[in-house]
Amino acid sequence: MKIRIKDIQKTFGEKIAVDIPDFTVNDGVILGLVGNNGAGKTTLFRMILDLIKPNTGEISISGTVPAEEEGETTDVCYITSNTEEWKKYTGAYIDAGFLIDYLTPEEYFSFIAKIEDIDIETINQRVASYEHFMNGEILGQKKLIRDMSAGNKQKIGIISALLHTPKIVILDEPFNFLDPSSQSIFKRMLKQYQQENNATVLVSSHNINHTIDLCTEIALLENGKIIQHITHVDEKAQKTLNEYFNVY
Amino acid sequence: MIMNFRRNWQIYRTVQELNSKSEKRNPMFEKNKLALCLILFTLVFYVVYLIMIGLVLLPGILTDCFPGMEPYHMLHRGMIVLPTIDFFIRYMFQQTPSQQVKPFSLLPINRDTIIKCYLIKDITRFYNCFWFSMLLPFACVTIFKFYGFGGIFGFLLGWWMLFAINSLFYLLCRTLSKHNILWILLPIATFAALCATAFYFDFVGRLLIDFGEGFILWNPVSFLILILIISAVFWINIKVQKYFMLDELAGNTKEKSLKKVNTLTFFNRWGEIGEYLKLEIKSAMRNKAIRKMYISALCIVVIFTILLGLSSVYDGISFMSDFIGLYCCTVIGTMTLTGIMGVEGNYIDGLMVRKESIYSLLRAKYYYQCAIAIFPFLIMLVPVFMGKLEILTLLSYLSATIGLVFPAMFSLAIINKETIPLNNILTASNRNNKYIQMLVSFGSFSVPIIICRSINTLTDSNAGYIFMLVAGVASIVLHRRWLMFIYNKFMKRRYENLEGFRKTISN
Repeated sequence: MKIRIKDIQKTFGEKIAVDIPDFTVNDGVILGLVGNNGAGKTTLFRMILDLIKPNTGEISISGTVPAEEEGETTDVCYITSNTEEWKKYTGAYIDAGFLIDYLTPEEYFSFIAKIEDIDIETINQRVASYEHFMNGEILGQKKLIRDMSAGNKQKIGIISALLHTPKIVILDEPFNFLDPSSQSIFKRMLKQYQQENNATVLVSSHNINHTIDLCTEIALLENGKIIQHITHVDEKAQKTLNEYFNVY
Repeated sequence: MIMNFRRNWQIYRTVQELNSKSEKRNPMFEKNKLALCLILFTLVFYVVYLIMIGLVLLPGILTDCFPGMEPYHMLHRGMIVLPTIDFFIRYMFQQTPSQQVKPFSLLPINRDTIIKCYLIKDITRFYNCFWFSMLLPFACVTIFKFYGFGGIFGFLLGWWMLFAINSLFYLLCRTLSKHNILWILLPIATFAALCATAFYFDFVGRLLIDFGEGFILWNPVSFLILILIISAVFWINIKVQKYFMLDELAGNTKEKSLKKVNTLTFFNRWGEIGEYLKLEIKSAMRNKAIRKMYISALCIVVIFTILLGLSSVYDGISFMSDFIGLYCCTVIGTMTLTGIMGVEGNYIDGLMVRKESIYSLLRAKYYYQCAIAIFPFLIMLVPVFMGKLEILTLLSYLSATIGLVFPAMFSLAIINKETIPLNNILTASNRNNKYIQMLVSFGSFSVPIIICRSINTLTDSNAGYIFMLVAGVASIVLHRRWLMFIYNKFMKRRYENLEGFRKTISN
């Protein structure tokens, strides 16, 4: 599934947060978004997810424009509008604001199952498949999400984004708060997920090594603009990024 | 010492500045401004009303009823009455200050100093001079002729100090009752004891007259007593506020696990709506701030039920029984729905990226509130059985609550964009500016009663109650339609609201 970004501009006051004339995330790629703080990574993700409205331009997910103004539903019947379609095949985790923190992880996963119309057995199987990643610290703890460590909250968020097997996955700085072994497991897990589901994955990170390891393409953002689109991630790409970020 | 004073003054100014910025930069600022204008407009009426009482009514009544005594003597004889009324008005309208101590907690500033700043801000609040609209004209008429401007000034200063004590005591009681609702008995017991002592024992009455006259005569003993009381309440406040604040700040890092996880499987039969119903119940059970709201509202219902049903306080005052009937039916809804979507603001991004979940959420919220509204109805059956309230009145107000008040409260979902902190009571930020919610709450328990009583008066029958009943039922039947309307409006404003929710999430 493709994500098409066309003439997108978003400003916060005087500051241009995102300014992308034309960019396409192709089907089945793992795109890494890198850039310094304030480069516009999270804003771009939020715009793709229809959580922030761009000043101009549009973003389409597999042909659907999430931000398209929908007509008022006058019928009392509950009709899913076309612009909601993209949500069925999109999974995302930006920050802890995505989690209902007064639920236990099990309750939260079961909540997602209901919302996404997935039976509880299937969800349990899918959750179980991430057992290694959870490292025995999440399920069966009788703890509310808010009482868990930042790393475990991050894991819950990542897993919840994948539970309905979306074709498009958007994860903002997923390596944050994860311990080194969880980071390694996560990389393998996401690669495997992408291959099994032929998903299009967008990941932002400040960690160049992880981005190089995980991604098939990299977009370098500076002041809201994509200044470089690296389509072949190799040693040359690593050198380019190291030079850009002054990492020696 | 001078350096210390200058430093504390600087901190005080910084705290004031922070509060002012917090208000101005609040996402609800524009709407609050409008609501505040409306509230101030209403307040002007009350001020004019109080001026008339102070100028004509009070001096006249006191002169007629107590010949041979000066009116200000009799006002001081009943000195406890005004602070008692003032205190409970504060309970209805004064918000507890959010104390944004978090930003200061890592700075080299004594926490006591910060708390003192908040307490001083509380003492110097404008509301503490509200009753001057009655007391100043009263003093001009009754005191000026004997003691001149000096007497008036002393009289006002003394009363201002009394209201400052009230303000601090209110703050103390609100803080304590937020942690354990039984503390609500503290002000009730205190004022009941003070009133009983003042009216039962004649010598106490005479002492109060002398004490009050001390204000006018600038008697240092009277002011010294007031200063001592203020200092004592101030000191107790510092200790209590600090204790609970530190407890709250530490609480966020405590390791906790649930004894039992209630899965509420009963609700599974209602699919997505059932899932949101579960969320509502768990939110009320597991979030301290939300739980306290329900408990407080239920306590209010019980207290009013006792006053109406089991005492003779309101016997023969039909307006009061009407008011209590409606207030009890609406109070839970008004307390919990004024900030509608504020709880969800904590995780709204997560909901918005899932398919049309907000409409189901609104429906579940409505059904949940309807179910909750049954509790005050059942409690209020006591006055009905005692013959103090008509069953038709109660039914019509229940119907008005569910069918008319709730749609008004739910429509706040369109404009609310302020996240409610789920567990923080004292250290939450941005919770000082709820003017629009205050206005809607006030309307919810005043407009139906005005409409109902107007129709009753015009038709000289119970038609008002029947009208409320029918109108409420009609709206209940059409609930999916108006909820869809609210949902559509919410979705149209989603970007603006989401931004507000994100900005006001407390970390």
